[in-house]
Amino acid sequence: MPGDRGRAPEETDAPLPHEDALLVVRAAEGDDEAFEALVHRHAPVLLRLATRLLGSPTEAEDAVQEAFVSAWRKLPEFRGDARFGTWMHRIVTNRCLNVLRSRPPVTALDSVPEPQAPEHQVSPARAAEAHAAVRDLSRAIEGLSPEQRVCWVLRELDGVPYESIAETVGISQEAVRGRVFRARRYLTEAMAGWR
Amino acid sequence: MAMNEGGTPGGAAFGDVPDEETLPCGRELAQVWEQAETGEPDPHTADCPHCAEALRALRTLEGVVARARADEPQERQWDTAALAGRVMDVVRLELRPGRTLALGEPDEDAWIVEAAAARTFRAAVDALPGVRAGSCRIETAVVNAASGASAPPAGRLPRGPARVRIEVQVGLSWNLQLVADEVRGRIVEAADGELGMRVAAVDVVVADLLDEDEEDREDQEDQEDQEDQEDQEDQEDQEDREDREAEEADEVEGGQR
Amino acid sequence: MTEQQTPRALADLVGAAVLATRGVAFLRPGLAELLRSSVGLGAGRGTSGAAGASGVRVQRRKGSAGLDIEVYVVLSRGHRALDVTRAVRAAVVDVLAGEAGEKVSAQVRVTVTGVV
Repeated sequence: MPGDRGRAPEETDAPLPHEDALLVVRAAEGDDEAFEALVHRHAPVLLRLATRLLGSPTEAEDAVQEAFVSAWRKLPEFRGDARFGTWMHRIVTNRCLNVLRSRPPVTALDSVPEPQAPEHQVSPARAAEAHAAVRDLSRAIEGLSPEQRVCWVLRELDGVPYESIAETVGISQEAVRGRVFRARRYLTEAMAGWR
Repeated sequence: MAMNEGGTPGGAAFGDVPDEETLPCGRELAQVWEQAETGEPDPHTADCPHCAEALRALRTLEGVVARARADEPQERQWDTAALAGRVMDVVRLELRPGRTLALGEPDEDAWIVEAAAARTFRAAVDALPGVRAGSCRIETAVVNAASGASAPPAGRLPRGPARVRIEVQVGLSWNLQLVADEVRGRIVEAADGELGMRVAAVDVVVADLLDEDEEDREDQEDQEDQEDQEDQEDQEDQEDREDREAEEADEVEGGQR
Repeated sequence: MTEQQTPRALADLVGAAVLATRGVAFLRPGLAELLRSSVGLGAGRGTSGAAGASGVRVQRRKGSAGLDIEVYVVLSRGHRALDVTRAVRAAVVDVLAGEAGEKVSAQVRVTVTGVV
């Protein structure tokens, strides 16, 4: 045992949790269990991101699933210059952007977004009102262009800095700012009734 | 107010808003909002009714956005088991087993794929406290050409003892020479006890030190320098070989498509 | 014993015997396909070769009465891989001795494709 001779660690803690970087190296060398651990670790955040971007939990699951499969295929070339989470965030975003682009254009009034999962526990009247506002927002978001929607969701819901959005989407920071502005402009208009 | 001139939200085309919009007070709406976002103070905005109205509109939107976020399920509530299952079903049809390595004696026709052997070695190394295994590549140590061994089946490495190269992350409290020995020991033990693979050499590369304990650090770095020098020659040799293998691997992959 | 059917029937028997071997978790069909393409076996011995889908392949050796048998297995953790491959080989040889009933020379190759 290491503790028996020379300078060996005294700590006898449980096996250290494997960091992403380590799991990524293993998965890149063909360890599917390491990849499975990465999937479990990152799926919740990515599912939430995709649901925000697409407005539909079902489509979000498909997008995230495809993103993970494509990540498995690309892992041997992944050099680890970005963190795995950042890399996945980018793959999912671009996947969702493609999904949005392939949707037939809808007007805000036609779109009926899928209801979000759990109900909140507040007083019924206020809850109902707030709920209606959120529903109106979801509907209004459907009226944004795919590019506006992606930029706005990343900025306002995911809190991503402008420069990172620019990198993810592959456009200039100015273009991102322009899209976020136009999305805000459109949405404030749509939500004017709730002021 | 100016904001209501831009068309109704139900308007036909999406993105149907102007790129720029000037408020009656002369300020650009985009600029007013960005200042609000960055928290930059602006004496004009504080007093201007037009700017105040524009900001109220933004705050209303932000309020509903905050509400929408609060309504989202918490991270841990997302059910990802089914999703992970579907992902792994596809992954397992597209495994990357790596090279095929010999098990047992030269006259046996028993083999194991590199990915499976590497996983066994990593697990054995991970069992050491404060040590984590990363990259693990296995190949056949150079076999004496005069030994008359028959050529391996296509795509398989020659039958012969293996050479293992493993990268480890190591807690700072370890003596690096000692940990390298321990890692070698675990691998040789696992190779014999769990696989039945003959191993000729184990190259241990300390890829990373865990923790930031300054006092220990200096000590450790001395050790590391020595280790680095020792590994240097091995590694150059190693890299040559890896290059050759990378080419071979490309060919194999090309053949699969 | 027809050219087409015997290898398939034999592969089924071999597969069952391999699965019954201690330490074998399952046969790996998908990976056998994958490995076959990477070990460079010629085309024309592809999926029509009956046994390919089961993780067991039985091939008549060209120009002789011998058989080439390839087995791809995933092991259960806690069993020494080499010992399991030896037991698998023994099980395959038993099947050949019992079933073929004739003097068949067979080359048996066992490959571990995973440990679960």
